[in-house]
Amino acid sequence: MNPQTPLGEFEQLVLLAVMRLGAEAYAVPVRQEIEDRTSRSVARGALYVTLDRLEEKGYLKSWLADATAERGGRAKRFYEVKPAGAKALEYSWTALQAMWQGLEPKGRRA
Amino acid sequence: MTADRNLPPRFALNWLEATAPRHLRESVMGDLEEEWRARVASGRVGADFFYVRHAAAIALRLGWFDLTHKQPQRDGDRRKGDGLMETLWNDARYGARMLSRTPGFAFVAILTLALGIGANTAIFSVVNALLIKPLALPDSERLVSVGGVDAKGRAQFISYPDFEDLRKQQKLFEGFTAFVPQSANLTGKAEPQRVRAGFVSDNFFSLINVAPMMGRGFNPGDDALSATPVCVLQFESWQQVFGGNPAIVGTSVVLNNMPYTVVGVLPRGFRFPFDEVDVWMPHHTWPVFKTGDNYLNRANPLVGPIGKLRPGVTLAEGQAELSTIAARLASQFPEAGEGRSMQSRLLQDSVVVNARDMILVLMGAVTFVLLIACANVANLMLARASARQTEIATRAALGAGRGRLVKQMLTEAALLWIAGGVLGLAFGYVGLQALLSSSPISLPGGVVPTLDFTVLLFTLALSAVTGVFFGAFSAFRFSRPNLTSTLKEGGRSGGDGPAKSRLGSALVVAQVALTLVMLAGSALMLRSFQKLTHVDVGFKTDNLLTLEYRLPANKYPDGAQQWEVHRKIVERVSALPGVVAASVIRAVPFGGNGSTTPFEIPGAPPFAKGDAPRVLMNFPDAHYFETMGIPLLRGRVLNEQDGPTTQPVVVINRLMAERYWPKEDPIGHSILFPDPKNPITATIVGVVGDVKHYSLGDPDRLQAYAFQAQQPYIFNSLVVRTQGDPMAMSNAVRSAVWSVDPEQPMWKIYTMDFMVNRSLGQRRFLMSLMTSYAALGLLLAAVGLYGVMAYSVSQRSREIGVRMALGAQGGDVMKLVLGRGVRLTSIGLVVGLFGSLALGSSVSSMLYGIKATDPVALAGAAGVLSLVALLASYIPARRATKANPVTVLHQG
Repeated sequence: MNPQTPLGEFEQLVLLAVMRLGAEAYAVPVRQEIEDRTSRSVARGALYVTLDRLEEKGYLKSWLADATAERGGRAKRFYEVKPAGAKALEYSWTALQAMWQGLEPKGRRA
Repeated sequence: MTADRNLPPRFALNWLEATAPRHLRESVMGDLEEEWRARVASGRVGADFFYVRHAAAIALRLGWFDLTHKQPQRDGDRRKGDGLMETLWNDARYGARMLSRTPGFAFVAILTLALGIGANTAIFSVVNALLIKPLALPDSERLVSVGGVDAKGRAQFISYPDFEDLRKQQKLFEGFTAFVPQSANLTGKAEPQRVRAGFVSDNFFSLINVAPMMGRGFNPGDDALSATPVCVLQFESWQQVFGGNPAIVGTSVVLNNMPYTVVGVLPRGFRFPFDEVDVWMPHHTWPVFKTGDNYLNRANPLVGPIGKLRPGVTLAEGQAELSTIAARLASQFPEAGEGRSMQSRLLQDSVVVNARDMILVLMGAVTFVLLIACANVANLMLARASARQTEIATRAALGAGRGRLVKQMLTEAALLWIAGGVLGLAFGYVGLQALLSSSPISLPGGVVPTLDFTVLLFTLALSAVTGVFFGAFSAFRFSRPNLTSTLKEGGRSGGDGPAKSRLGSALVVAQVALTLVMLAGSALMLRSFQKLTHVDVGFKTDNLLTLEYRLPANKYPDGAQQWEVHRKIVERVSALPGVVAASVIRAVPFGGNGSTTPFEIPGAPPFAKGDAPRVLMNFPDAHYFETMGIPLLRGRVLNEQDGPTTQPVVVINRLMAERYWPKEDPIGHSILFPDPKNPITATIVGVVGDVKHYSLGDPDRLQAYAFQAQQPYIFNSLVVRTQGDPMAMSNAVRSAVWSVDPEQPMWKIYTMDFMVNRSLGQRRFLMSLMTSYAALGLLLAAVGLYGVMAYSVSQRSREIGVRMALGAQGGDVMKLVLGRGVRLTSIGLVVGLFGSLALGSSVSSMLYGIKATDPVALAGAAGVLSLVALLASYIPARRATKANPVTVLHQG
């Protein structure tokens, strides 16, 4: 239950976006999804680095596919959340829930 | 591939392709191109801009991530990794590993580089402070110092009337100010004290453009003859002498026995770049200024002006105006010196005029050290490269491209020079501190060499240049590895082509040549120094204490009073136990003071105008020659019977007697001192030995001594011959002086040995630095030669083994190996000899008693170098003869 390294906030956002997008999860829509839902801008470089790191930690797996003309004939790297990634997300969510217990979102006691 | 117009900007595309880690490259580039294409519809320019911006951002982010977070060894299988950053990182790591595997090589190379770079950094800091950095004064590039020049081109001050006319007639300058540094007596405090005063015109502070921190500077009129004396304090003297009294402005202090009102204090850190000054006083209160009618006499050089050019006026234009005015004054007032002129130079240049030659010679020397060091490291790298041929060939055979190998070599070279540069900077810092603490270069006030940004930049550039040098070397070395032959030979004897061994030889020749030049330079300085220390100064320097003092002219206005004080001081000091004898003289030898005066010989044909000789005139008391141990050659010395009312007498030195009375006895002849106001005809009563007056390197000078009782003056030097340690007597001597006048300050209390020794300070410093740099060069060159010889022996081990197996004796092998070393050294010696002769003129001004072509120095340098070179080649040669042919051939 307790992952070796707890997820950072941005890592959680990336994992969640990959989950939401399902079969369409590659960097461009992942970035779009986070920006749309959180209304904050995401640097492409940071996203690549995070995706790579999550894969290295074993939370994501990736494969190349779907080389199209719009992409200059270059394949997309699709991502999928692995069970370890889902577990890590769950741990983060539980931890946050536990900490929020009895508090309102604005930080006052309920 | 699609046409260019259907692609994002090519350079950004390539940049991203080159830098992205391989496993992400395809998807990252595809993603960005997809986004670019989506934007092309709404504008190509905007889309291209978008692409470039993000390509750069992504490349940097991924590159940085890769460099700092990844561990390629572990991930090596997954990432082949030849993105730019990753390659660089891997190369650096690999290079560091290779260097640490041969720590001896790395140590020697880095140390060699650091020594070269460090020596350069230290000396360059001084060059930077003296010659490059502007003086720490506002508009310092417009400040000039002006000097008078007589018809023979000798520098002198200019007279006050000439100075006043110059100020009135000039148009191209913002103004001129007088500046005279001289010590002053500060009294009215617990102990009388000597302060260093700067006597300046009332426009000084506005011209120099410095605003006092407290109070005011000088106002117009403060330098008028009738003005109430005012003074301005230097920040440091306000702190140290006046305890930082915040209410100092408006108070009165007694300087040279005259009350001055303090009107201001200068800001901390203000330094005028000549002599150190504690108190600034108006020019007209300078004691010499109002002595008699000094300031009205156009023939009396009194002022060393400092001027400031108007903005936009060049030094040449300013000089042209000065020349015109000076020529006009010279023709208008010829009696004050026909053909006299004025010479200006930038203040910055006049400040460093003494140290400049020396600094440039040192800079040359350290450049040589660096060159020798570079040649050494290059040689080391050559030898090492040979040792690594198998490794390189293996990598090449496994598919490493030539560019990849060159890049690897460049990275290793870069590691070396970065390490060498960092260590060199540290060496430079230490070296500079050592230079400054020994401090024999008298650095002008306010000039403080530091390792500032310019120096850092210099060191960086120096390291980069050496780095490129090695890089080019390695690249050359590995441009075409010969795979088959190297691998077949198993790297046994490293099949080096003749070109590469020629390169190594050329490096050795260059090292030998450079070293010889340095050795010759330091040998010349050693010989000069040795000659100087054996110079006969003309008197006994041991057990002699000296000091200086100046009576306040307004306390003792007339000569008889002054002489009475001097006489009493000598009397009291002579009576002290432990004192053998005491005397006074106006300007004591090696004290730095002294003046010359024109003279005529009645009855002899007059000297040619503008070419009249001058005699170094001094004023001793009766016992001076005895106290000093200056031999009397003829006649008598001055004595108590010579008084103010009797016939003026003079004692001359050997040179003067021999030059003007070569065939007769000069005793009884007379000399005329043609002072326009007070011409004196003095009778020669004696001849004494020549004395070195300013330094050991003094040429023989015409010298004459007039009796102080006949021409008293306020300034004097006291010389005391003691039984024991002269310094131990200093307090007793001071008390004796104070028993005559308790308000009389004294300064420069030194032993004569110290002053003589001090006069050698700069030479000793230059000599010891040159010698240590030359020794460093010699050591490096020896290491270089040894390296090349050892390398060549290892290369020829098979050949030598075969020869020995076929019956060659140790001696034959020795001859074979040594022969090469001797050949290389000889060529280097010849080249270096020509170099020494060519560069000799640059040091000739620093030599004494020998010429720059001195055969002893040159031969000595060549001898030492040959010996060391022979030794450096002998060791590897000997090793070659000890080799067992069986072993060597088995390896083959």
